[in-house]
Amino acid sequence: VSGLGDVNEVREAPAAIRVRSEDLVRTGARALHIQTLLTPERMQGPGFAFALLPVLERLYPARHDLARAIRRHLAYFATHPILTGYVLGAAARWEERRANGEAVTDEAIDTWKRALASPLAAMGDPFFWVTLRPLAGLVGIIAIGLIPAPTLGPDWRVLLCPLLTLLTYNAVALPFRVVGTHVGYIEADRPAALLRSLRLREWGHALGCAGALGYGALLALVIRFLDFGSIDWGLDVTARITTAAPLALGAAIGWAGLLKWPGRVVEVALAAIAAGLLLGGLV
Amino acid sequence: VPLLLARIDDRLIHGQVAYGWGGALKPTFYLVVSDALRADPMRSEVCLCGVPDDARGRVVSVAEALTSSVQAEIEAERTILLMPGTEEASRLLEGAFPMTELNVGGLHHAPGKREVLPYVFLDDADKERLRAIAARGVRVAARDLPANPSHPIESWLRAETRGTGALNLIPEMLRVAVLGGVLAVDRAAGWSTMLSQPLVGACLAGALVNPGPEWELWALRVPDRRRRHPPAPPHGRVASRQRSATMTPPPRASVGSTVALLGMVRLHSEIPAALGGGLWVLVGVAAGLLSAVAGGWVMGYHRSQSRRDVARADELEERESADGAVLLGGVEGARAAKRSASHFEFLYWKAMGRVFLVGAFWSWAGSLLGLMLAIAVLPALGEWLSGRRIGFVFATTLGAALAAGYHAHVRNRRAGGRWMALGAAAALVLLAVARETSS
Repeated sequence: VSGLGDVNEVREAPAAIRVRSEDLVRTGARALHIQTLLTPERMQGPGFAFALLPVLERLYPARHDLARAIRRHLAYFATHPILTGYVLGAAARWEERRANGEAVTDEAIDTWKRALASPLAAMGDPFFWVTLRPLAGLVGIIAIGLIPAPTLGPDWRVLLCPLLTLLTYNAVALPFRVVGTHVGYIEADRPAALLRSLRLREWGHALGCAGALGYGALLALVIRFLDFGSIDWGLDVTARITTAAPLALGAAIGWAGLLKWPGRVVEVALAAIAAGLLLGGLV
Repeated sequence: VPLLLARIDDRLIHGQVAYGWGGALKPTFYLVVSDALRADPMRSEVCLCGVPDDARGRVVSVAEALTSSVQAEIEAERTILLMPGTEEASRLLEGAFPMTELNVGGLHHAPGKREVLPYVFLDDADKERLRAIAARGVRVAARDLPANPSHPIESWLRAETRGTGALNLIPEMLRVAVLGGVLAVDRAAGWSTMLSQPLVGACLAGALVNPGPEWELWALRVPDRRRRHPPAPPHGRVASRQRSATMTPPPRASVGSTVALLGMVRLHSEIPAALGGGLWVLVGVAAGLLSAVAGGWVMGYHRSQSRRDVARADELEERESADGAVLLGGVEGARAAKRSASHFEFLYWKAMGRVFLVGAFWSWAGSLLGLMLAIAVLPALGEWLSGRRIGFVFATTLGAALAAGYHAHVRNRRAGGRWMALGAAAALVLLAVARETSS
């Protein structure tokens, strides 16, 4: 990789400073807060510098070197927050080489940070936000729909549901955070291999199918829920229609609204509420 | 067997008792204590028609209930004791009837009675009697169904006095602020652990504000605007779309559920709304949606402060790196380097505290405004909104949420349709199995 030093060049200078494993762990933990100083101009840049501080402090004992390193990483940076660890790890490796006197330029570090960040964001966003997040929610909701209510005492399912959601999401997301900095450090010289090793596309496809399965189950549960279990299937046609009509109307508004105005979810929800009020007023 | 349940319910034996409590407690004997009913054989016969097949029922007067033969009957069976009003209960206890708990399950509206809970309306005499019963050491609590939360007498007899209900809001509002701060950090600082997602946030708010199950929470899943991180633009140029997408306001679902729950629990007696919970939920959702907009304004403050902080960090590190022209070696140099880094670190932690405070303030203020809005709007709305109309609103909202979710999240439409059909079939089968095993 150009500008980042020679991979095959093994230099064991007596005064070599190495990044320690604990520095990478601390960096990974700090990456949790990577968006705290988010501004449109710098995005996660300040957060990146903050997270990398344990590594930089190890590598640059001299004050002006450290300040320069921090300044370097304060610049614009943006990727998926959960996957920042991989870039942080790789940056730690490059900074280590630079601190040990190898020919690593500031520009090269910045360029390669960006080069890694873009595909990580491109893979991470659809995976974590679009696929994993609703799936985790569905797991919680469907669990509560399927588990019968306890006949006596408080309904513990109300707490079970968010707990299941949190567990589902973080069981998948946390491992990326935990191993991110170490994998990034080890694979710093093989960015393409690093990106492929995440296998996010394959995971995303499988979880997407699971999500569709969940929406089907949820639809069935919602229809049952609207019946409150009190009406026999198919017997009372009027009740069937008055249950199904507002649901279908809402679904049509949701679907058409988002096709026309993608992302305006709040407005579409308000429109659905208004339609329900209107329909209720007419009937 | 000791008495399973002693219940005040002016409907005596009806669905909630026979199937709600009966299903849970499996009684074999329903004992109704009422002088008026005992004196009217025809009415008592009608009343006992509601006794399920696997149990028997009997109507006695208060005096009879205190006799040793009836006591023995109670001991011999699994008994549910029913009284039509507070008077019977207090007379039983005056006669030293052995009772440790008293369930208030239904005292409905009559002239001169005021609402303290959706199913409990009391006049002054009722309150006096219930207070006296509680003073005897009997645990008095209101609970319509076993699956619903139990409200101890202290919570509703105090809340019922005008004015104090609103005062009770203060500790809850503090908890709301702390929760709002944590959720804002989860969302805005990059934790991204899902804590701040509507589903989780609403349930957390429910658990914090009202530690009892509230089904209405489910309606508070305010749909979430998707957050996107587009691939990084070329250096120095930032698309405006990106700005709006990443600067998300703190979570709003907690505001909606807080408004609904606090309203239901604390302000119910202040604002008599005919439909109780349903209407509060609607108000909560509206408050949540509105505060989504307001949340953007509050985050504007954090954003401008962040800009200033970043400029300060730039300045700081620039100065430090220039200063270093004189190289300090050894321990002294390392200490100076540490000091320089800690300035930046302090700046960063301060910003973190700001995210928390902004979220806390926003949740607190949003909930307060929502409640005030409800106090202003609800009395007028309550007349027009029937249970049926609210049902329509819920159904359309659910439909929209489902369609929006599917639209946004399932990208392979053809495969998605197949999987969806499979999921629906699986859920129906599972439901049928669950029903079979439970019955």
